[in-house]
Amino acid sequence: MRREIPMAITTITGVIMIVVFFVPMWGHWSDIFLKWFTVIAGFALVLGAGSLLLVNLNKISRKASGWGYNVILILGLFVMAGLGIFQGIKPGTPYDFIFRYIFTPLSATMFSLLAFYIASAAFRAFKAKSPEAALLLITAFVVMIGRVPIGEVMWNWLPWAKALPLTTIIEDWVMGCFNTAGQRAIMLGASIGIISTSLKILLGIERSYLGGGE
Amino acid sequence: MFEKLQNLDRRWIFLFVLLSVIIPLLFPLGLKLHTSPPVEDIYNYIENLPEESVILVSFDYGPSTEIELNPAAKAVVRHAFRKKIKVVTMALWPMGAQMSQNVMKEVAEEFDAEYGRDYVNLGYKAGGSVLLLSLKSGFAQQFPTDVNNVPLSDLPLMNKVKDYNNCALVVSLSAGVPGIREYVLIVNTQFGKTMAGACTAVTAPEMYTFLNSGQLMGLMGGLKGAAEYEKLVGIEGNARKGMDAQSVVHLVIVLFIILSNIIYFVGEYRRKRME
Amino acid sequence: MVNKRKYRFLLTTMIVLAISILCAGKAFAGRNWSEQAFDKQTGITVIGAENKFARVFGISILNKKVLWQVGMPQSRGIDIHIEDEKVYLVSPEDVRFQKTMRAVNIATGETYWANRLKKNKRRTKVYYDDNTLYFATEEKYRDIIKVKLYAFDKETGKTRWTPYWIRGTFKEMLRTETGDFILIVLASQKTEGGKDLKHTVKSIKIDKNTGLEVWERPIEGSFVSFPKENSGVIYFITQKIIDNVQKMTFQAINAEDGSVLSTHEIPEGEKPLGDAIFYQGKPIITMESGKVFYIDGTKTDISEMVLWEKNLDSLPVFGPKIIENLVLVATMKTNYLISIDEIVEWEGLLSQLKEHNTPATSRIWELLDENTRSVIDGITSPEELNENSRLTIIEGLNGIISNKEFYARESFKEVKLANEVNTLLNRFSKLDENKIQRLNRCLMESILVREISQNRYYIHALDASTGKSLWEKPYMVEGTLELPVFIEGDRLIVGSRSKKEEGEGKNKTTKQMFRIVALDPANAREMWKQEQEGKLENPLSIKDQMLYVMLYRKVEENDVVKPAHLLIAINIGDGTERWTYATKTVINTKLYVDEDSVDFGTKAGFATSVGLVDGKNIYKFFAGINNEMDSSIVTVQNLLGFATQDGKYFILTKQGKKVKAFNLKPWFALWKLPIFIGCLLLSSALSWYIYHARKGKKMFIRRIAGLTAIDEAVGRATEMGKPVLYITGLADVDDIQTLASLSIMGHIAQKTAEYDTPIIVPCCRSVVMSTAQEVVKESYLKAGRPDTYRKENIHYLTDDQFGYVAGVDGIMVREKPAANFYLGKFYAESLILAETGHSTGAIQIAGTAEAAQLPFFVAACDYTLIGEELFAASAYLSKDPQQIGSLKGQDIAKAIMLAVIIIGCILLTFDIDWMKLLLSTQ
Repeated sequence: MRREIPMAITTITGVIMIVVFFVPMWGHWSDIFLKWFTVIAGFALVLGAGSLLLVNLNKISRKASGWGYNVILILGLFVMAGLGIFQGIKPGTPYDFIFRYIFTPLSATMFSLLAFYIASAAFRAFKAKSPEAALLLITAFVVMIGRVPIGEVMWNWLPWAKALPLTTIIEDWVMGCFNTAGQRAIMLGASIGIISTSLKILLGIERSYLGGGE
Repeated sequence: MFEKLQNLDRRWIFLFVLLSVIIPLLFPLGLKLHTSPPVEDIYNYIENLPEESVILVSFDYGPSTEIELNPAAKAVVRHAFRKKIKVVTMALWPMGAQMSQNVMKEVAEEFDAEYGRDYVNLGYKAGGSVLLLSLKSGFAQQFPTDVNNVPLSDLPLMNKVKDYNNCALVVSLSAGVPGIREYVLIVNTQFGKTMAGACTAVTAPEMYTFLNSGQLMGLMGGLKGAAEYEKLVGIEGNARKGMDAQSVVHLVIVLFIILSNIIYFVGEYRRKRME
Repeated sequence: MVNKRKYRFLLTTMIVLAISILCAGKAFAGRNWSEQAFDKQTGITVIGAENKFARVFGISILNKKVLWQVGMPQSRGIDIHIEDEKVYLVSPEDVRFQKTMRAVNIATGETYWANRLKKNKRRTKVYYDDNTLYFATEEKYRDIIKVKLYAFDKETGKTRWTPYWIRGTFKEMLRTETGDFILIVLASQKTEGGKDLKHTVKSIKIDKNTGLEVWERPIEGSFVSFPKENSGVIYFITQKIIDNVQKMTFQAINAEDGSVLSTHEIPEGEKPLGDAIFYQGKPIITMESGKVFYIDGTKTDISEMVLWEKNLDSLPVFGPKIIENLVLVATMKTNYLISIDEIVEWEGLLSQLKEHNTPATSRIWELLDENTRSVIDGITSPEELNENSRLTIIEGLNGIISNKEFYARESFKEVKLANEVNTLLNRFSKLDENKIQRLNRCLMESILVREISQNRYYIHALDASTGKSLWEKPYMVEGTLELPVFIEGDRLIVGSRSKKEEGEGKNKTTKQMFRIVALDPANAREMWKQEQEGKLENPLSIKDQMLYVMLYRKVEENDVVKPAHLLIAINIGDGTERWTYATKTVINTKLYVDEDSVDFGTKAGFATSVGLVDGKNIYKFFAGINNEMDSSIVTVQNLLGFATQDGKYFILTKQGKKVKAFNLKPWFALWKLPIFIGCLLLSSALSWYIYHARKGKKMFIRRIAGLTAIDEAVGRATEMGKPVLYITGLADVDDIQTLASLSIMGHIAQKTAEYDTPIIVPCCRSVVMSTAQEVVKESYLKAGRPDTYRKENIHYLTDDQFGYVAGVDGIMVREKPAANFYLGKFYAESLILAETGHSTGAIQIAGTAEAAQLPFFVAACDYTLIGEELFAASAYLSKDPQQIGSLKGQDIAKAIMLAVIIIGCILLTFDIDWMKLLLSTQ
């Protein structure tokens, strides 16, 4: 029964949603499910916060390596939640201050790592080991240089720059044609994969997401 | 020397990347920027909207990508306010509401735009694509109040803007999921609204598929896209300032790739000779 | 056996359709009805439904029956015209395979004639003549856009003459007094080599009887105000940008022959406000600068052309509007200087200035010039104030308002400054002259003169024939003007809003006030005045000598603040409030004023009727939660009818009793037929192979390197005594990629359980976390090692993208897992994760269907599952024949898709687009 009830819920909800999709007369039914989802997602957030507390408190009590970070995490959690609840989040409040001057730069820092990692990953992996890889490499150069103003400047030195603008090569050919074709192939394949997986879930063939396969 | 290069510590690469960002920011090169059709399309569309039209701008990013997407947001909103177009903002990302708050405040002050009449910030709501679907039956259903808990009925603009139908254009500023893709699949494909997007450079190639199929009317990819828009609107914003740095970084990475290939081929050559 | 198999196959196929939800989302209720056209004689109303439903209904209110329905594309914006028992329907746009215009019988819906204008978009309203209907369209065929003017015979539906056409895009059409049409078209030409288009605007006159061009005149520039025709003259204003300077030109063209009667260049910086109004066939134009001109376009000489000119000295915000010979303009002054008529309480002002005992007032005193100081000192009592001394004081204060040095931190310490002041102060160094004035004005107001609006509004009345002001001086509006301004009978109605402060200190509250004033149009004398607390929600409306005001107000009742939406009826004659009606939600329809009631719909879904005389509620009909009234209300005898958002049509009695409700939504969403067929095809391919696999047919599955490497990765972790790290991606559990990832995780967890290697799963979504805990626990149970399952290893980190990345990177650096799995949906964080993992020396296996992230994973990981491989992994790992069968089905689906793409490409290359139309879902 532990398995059957969730599966029944999946199948029944799925079927109702399909029927409603094709029958406008009963359109309002789907509204109900959409509202439920929002409610459930809200409750799950409490679950997540609970787990976070539990794991970190556990580490602190065990004095596991680097437990100081866990203290900071829990402090952060309570300070931000407290400030947000009691003083609001409007501009000018302490919450807003922390958000703007601590959280924002920290997040941006994490994201900026990408620039460094792209360089190091490219340095390591981007090698012309085969003719195909060499082709890819040249294309990458054209796009990387061409997408920034310096590329535009360099291209305009070439004699055929007028007849063949750089944007035509990048926007129309590389991005619009080759890139799109490749992306679409992967997207179509993935979409069929999604359809097939959904089907398997609705039919109960795929139930490992409920735990452990058969 | 060769061995050293072969096992180059990646921190050297990091150092070079860092320098190539900082130096052009301090000493700009002043490279000329050209605009590309996907950005021009958005500009022209907004330029041709009648006064008093409404655009919906969705802030689907957080502080981490603020640097990349804020310039695009500001450029679009500036353009809108200049054309006396009303702006309604919302967010699919929790931090997006704050992003929108900051951007709108700055631009509104510049144009003396009045909150509630010229622009409204609906704030954030969880749900992603599910939320977008349910907004079809009216914004007020999912956003009974705006970000400051003012009932929508108290905001004159929202008495005019009930749902997607009242918006001439939907712009998603997206850094991931949920973002442009959700908007395209639901707001454009299902409800037939004209969509434009701005996204981080990393996700831009994927968005070109939507651009190509016409599901996106225009696209601002990364800082470059934002810089182009700034140029079209005629402002000297952060994105344009960042273009020089981006140029040099791209060049440096290309040089590194060339270097790594030279090392690779020399290594192969030596290995073959040894054999 | 056969029956059972059939039944199973049918059932699976049906269930499979669920997929459609994933590929196309969910259905939503219909909405957005067009306005109803009601025929009083027959009591039949004609209403167009939502665009997608593509249907127009004929409903008899009296017989409470849906009489007929016809399919019409874009039915929401449809033009409905009823005449002699015939209904003419013209769609705004041609969509797919449907007739775009028809004439039907109002009682039976029987079609007299029907036409389809392929690829046409109607751009004008439909003009009906005695026996002809006209409208202009834009036709797009390939990349060519043509503007067409059609004329159809009302009887037969045949075109009266060959449609007039011209290449270009539609701008405007107007009909002259003689019934001919003037078409304004933007004719564009491609310039050499570039994408730039060269535009020429053409105005063409077309004869209504022959459809032939009478004359054509090219116009340079773009329109600032569109052409208006009056007394045979067409007036308009165009603009051109030359060297970044806007040049506007006023032009007048003879409607008879197209000859230019006059052109006049408008001085730089001047711009017309809105459209012109006409008095005796000649236009009155208001400029944004506040100048009003009355022009005779037939004269060429500028001195003869301008009949009169009037400078209002302020910026127009409304108008002009003309009533008989009275020209009404409302203007605004944004000048921040104080004017003499603004000061209400001279006594207080004088004493404050004389005493100047606070830091702020002494600051003012400090900055006043000698002359003003001596004037103030010289006055001992308020009675001594005269016109001259008043003017001197105002001048002195205005001097301070223009002084950039006014603000000094010390002096304003004790003064509570408005938010606006603080914002302005933050940008103090960047403020221009105007903003400085605004800041100083605000400062001044917070010390001396309170309760003065920053923008002052005036109403001017001019004599249309002479341009002279009819009143002694313009009427100054108290507070902020609310538009529009009405003239009803012999009353000029002006609404305005302002804020009112009450109480002191902590109890201080600000109230929104709404004020209505009735003026005598002859001399601007106030005839009555009404003041109400609240904020205006809908524009004012006037009907039958009654003014309806809809306000929002917070009412305090037993310490509970309740918002109320009020409908207030005011008698225009004497300004008395007839009645007030309160609703809980905002009124979001027009007011429909009947003989004895006012009807409207509210946001919560109530249809409400209020007595016209006493304001008592007649009925309140609830149509459903948030089921707003979405059309106009029609009434016939004792019945009324309207449509609501969720696709219902209600017929009520005037007492609010439901007589009948029709659900007008269709049973099957015909526009989704392509999706339906596609899903049917795909799912039958899938279920066919699943069915065969069930029966035991062996199927081949190719080796996927990334998946065979799983054993190696887990094995290595065991050897090194290090944990395994598993990331399910950034998406929530409603994403199929996450579900696929959870399935794979089940298999990997089983391996780690067997080898007794810890598995760490940090989650980005809490729902994913609890699901992952279940999955891992179950796997450990199945491996027979439930004792080694550690719940705390599967934990939640944060929903924030980069916060999550930071957390996971921390785990990688501290715990140094020997194997990292990244399977699921990833965004920009993919490379940050993979590079950090690489630097710790872990063996890495990634998989995602996010095409943009694949290159990063390929560059930084040892193995990558590309796109659909992620979804195939579960089948591959479980070796379950049914799952492998579904893979085979997937291949067939892909083959079908490929065939469709190839055929579609070929057809479109030859410009055959029926397949595209067939497959489009809009």
